[in-house]
Amino acid sequence: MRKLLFAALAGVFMLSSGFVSGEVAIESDFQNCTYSISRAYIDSRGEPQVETKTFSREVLNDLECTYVSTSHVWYLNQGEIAW
Amino acid sequence: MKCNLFILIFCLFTAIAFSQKKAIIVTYNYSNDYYSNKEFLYASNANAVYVKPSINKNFENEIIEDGNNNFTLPLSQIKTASISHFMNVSSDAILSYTVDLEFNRFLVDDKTFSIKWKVEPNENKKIAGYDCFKATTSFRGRKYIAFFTDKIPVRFGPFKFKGLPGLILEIYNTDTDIKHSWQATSIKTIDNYDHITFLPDPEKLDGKKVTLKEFMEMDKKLNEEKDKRFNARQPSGVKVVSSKRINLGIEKTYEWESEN
Repeated sequence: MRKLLFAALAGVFMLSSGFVSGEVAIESDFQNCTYSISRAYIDSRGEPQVETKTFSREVLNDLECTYVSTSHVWYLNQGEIAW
Repeated sequence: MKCNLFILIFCLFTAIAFSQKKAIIVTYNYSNDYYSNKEFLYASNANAVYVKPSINKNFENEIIEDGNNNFTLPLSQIKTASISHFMNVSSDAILSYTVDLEFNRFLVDDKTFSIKWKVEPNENKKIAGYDCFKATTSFRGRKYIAFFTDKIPVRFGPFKFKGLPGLILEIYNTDTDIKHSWQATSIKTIDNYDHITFLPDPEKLDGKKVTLKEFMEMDKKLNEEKDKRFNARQPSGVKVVSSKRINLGIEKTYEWESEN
């Protein structure tokens, strides 16, 4: 019991003195998902234009990245998000 | 040199024969990599109006994905306004009755360019039954090859192309990013036309009058505002990291841009 108390007090001392850090580095679970969407369009005067936009979002894994990019493309193509 | 002189003399004779009371209506088939449409030139030997009718078409195409997170949305709709270009032989200025990117009407004064043609009289081609000469030029960032006939002494052609010693029956660009082409498919001659009804006075058309430079600056601002609105309505957590627009239009660059 004394040993346990001594170890706890030593631990408190080391933390408070800065001898060891109380923060534990946690590696981020997120990854960056980058994708590009292009479209050709004809403007109001009949002139062809091409526009390319690159998007980025933090995701958990490749599967989520696929979901984010394909749903974004779908929304733009359906006109749910106006371009 | 002799050949050029011969063309000039021949044009002079045919111009006299083509009296001021005569006019022509030329139908052109315009096409680019995305669509084609019929366009019309109404011209006397003094002035002309080129009409690009409106288009309203829908398409059903598939999304293209390259497997590397790059997607291409299909062209699903073309909706354009009718545009007219008013020209005359005595001036380089062209008045365009046109629209901005939000379909508001404007009368645009375009006088910042002058097309310099190089006639190649040894290269001939027959179009719509007419013997045509070849001419080349660079116009607003694109290189063009034209074929004109001196048998019709009307110094106009499609779009804003003019100044050759005869009607332009075919013209196309030779750039690699996109192809624009115009080919005459019919030519009708009108005798004793009524000038007032045949060619309307552009000054009487409804629309704010601006210079082309002012008009293009307005377009730039509209595009910037459109980009801001677009960026603000993306799905939660999604950021637009880069944005690029490529102009594949007939006019790729303007004179004042090369000045800077």
